[in-house]
Amino acid sequence: MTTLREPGSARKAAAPAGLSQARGRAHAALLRPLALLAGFMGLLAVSVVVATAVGTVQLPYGETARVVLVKALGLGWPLDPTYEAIVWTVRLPRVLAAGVVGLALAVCGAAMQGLFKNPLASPDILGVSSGGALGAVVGIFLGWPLVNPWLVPGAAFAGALATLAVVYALATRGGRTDLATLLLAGVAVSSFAGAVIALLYHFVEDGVLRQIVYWLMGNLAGKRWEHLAVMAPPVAVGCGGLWLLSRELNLLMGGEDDARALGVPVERTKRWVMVLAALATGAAVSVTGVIGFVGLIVPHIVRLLIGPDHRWLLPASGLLGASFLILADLLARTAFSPVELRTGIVTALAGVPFFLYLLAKRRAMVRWS
Amino acid sequence: MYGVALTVWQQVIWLLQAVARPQAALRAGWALGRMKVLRHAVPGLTTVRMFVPALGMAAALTLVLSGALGATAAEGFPRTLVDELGQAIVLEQPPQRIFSVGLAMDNILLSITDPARVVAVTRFALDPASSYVIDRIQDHMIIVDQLNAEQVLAAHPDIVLITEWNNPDVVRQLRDLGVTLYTFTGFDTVEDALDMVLRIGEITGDEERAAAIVAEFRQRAAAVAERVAGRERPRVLVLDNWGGTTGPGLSAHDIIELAGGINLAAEYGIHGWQPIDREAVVEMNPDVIITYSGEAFAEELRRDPVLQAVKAGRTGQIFHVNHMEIHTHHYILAIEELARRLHPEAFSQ
Repeated sequence: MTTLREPGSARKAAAPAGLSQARGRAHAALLRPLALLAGFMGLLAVSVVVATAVGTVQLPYGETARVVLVKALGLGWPLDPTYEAIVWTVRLPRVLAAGVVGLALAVCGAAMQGLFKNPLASPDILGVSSGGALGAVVGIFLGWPLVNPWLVPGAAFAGALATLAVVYALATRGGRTDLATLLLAGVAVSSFAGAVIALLYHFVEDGVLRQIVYWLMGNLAGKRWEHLAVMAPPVAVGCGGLWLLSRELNLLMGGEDDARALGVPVERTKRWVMVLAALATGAAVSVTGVIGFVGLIVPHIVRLLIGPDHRWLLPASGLLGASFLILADLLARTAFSPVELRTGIVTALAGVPFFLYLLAKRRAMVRWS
Repeated sequence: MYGVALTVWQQVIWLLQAVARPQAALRAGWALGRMKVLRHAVPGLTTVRMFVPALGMAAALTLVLSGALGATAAEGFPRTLVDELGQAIVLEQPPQRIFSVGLAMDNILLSITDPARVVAVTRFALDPASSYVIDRIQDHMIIVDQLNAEQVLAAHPDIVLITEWNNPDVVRQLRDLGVTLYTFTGFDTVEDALDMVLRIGEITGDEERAAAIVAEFRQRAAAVAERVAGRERPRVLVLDNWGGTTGPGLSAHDIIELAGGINLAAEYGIHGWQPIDREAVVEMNPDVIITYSGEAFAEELRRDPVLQAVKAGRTGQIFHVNHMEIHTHHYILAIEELARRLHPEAFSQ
């Protein structure tokens, strides 16, 4: 059946539809990030459960769940001491440490990419990781691990913050921080720290060299609840603080002058973003050593999915970063068992192709603003 | 975007390199403690090492004597041992579940004790290239790569034998959980290897077997020394595929000396493992060049035009020697093999 219509009627009919579409789009603009955030939360939950259930030693799932529930709820029921040791003392802290580190690196990476408006930015860009590495290596070189096991993480944390202070001082003139100079200073200080570490290689013996290599390549094995307790507060403060600054970060994307005109305290914002990012990165790096790629790739993936708005980008990056590192570590532990790969190999091998696939599929530059 | 991809790719390459090298170093490190620059730069330590043979012999003698007095193994327990980190370890009875995280320990352990008492060995113990005990590997054994807390806890070991190359965080975690750990640090000289045999004998309660192995080593080494005595000692240089040579303080030096050669590196003041360039090799002009890095690397050395300028190259005395890389009493096989190559006439009849 065909109906003849006047040319105008279609337009008339389209007008209200267009309006509702616009309203729908506004809805979708909120719905999509919310849905993605919920999805990332679900992924994180699944990652934690799977990574706790599976390990080098295969335990009955029921027993694993029982240990976690009894210990987490403080029920005090009798547990098999072996299962308790493996699940509660070895496996779960490692999974959660991976989550916290992944979260910290991804959030800081996203904030750094935003601050520098540079797709290559990562949490290491200010030299914080290298400075932390140098602090740790010097600590190991001086034999501090034998004095107190917390001295090396402490030295790493101090090295990370000291590096930030040096780089910041180099790039700041008359209360203004030039981002390009900051970048260059970060690269230079990183290279210098790397050279000092390489120099120290020549003066250490085998056992010490092994410890340094373990530290530099980043590893999550042997992480305990104490590590989590030490690492979590600075990461929470750093990442939470960055999230509170997401509006300012958004405005800074349009250029410093425009942001200043819109009332953003530009210099103060830049300073706080760097301090908070160094705090979270330094805490993560000082406990687990340098783990690459998470802070570089995860924010890009999230930006492709959720857009450049830091209010969504930062929490979503954190959630995906946590899941990503937990799953990467799971693969590292189990893929070639009993051979345990470095988590960093897996983050690179798994993350990079996926990232490139996303890029090819989108066939578009990452949207920056 | 291309820039991102390129940087990412470079980082992948860098990471793989960083990973590949220490992994190789780990394997090599099990056999030969390289890069121990500091340790060998301290003269006092080297002097101490000269007394080690005497100490080792005294220990062997004591053990043989105590064995002769008819003490049974279980009667020696409970016993207190001190590991090479100086930590005291109390064993109430002979350990029945021994967990090894080191190739040298795998080889020695399975050479001297009942395989049923060994609950874990490294994956290198299954590799014919690095294992003397493949036929003693049993199905119940867990195969480990490195110290893994989950594997250790699941195995309920009485004692875990480790090296100082393990992840310090995992070591601490296991200590906190009350796992008994025995750490070996001496992976340098031939005497270190024999000392390790005796120590493992003490741990398992197989002192007699351990002492017998050490005694056999000394007897065979003495036989080699007797055959090569009074002959002209060739000047030997070790080269490896890391671009280095070995002076006093490491097993390669001991093997050359015990096989009736002179380690040229020692004459040039090299201690431990040191990188060496080809010009220095030409200047040293060794009679013989040996390597432990495999036949392929030996062939590479034979084809090196620079080495044609030294005596070893002109006379074709460049070859690979087996059994030099696994830190156990099997070093005697390397000593015998090298002695035959250096002094063929002494072994001809």
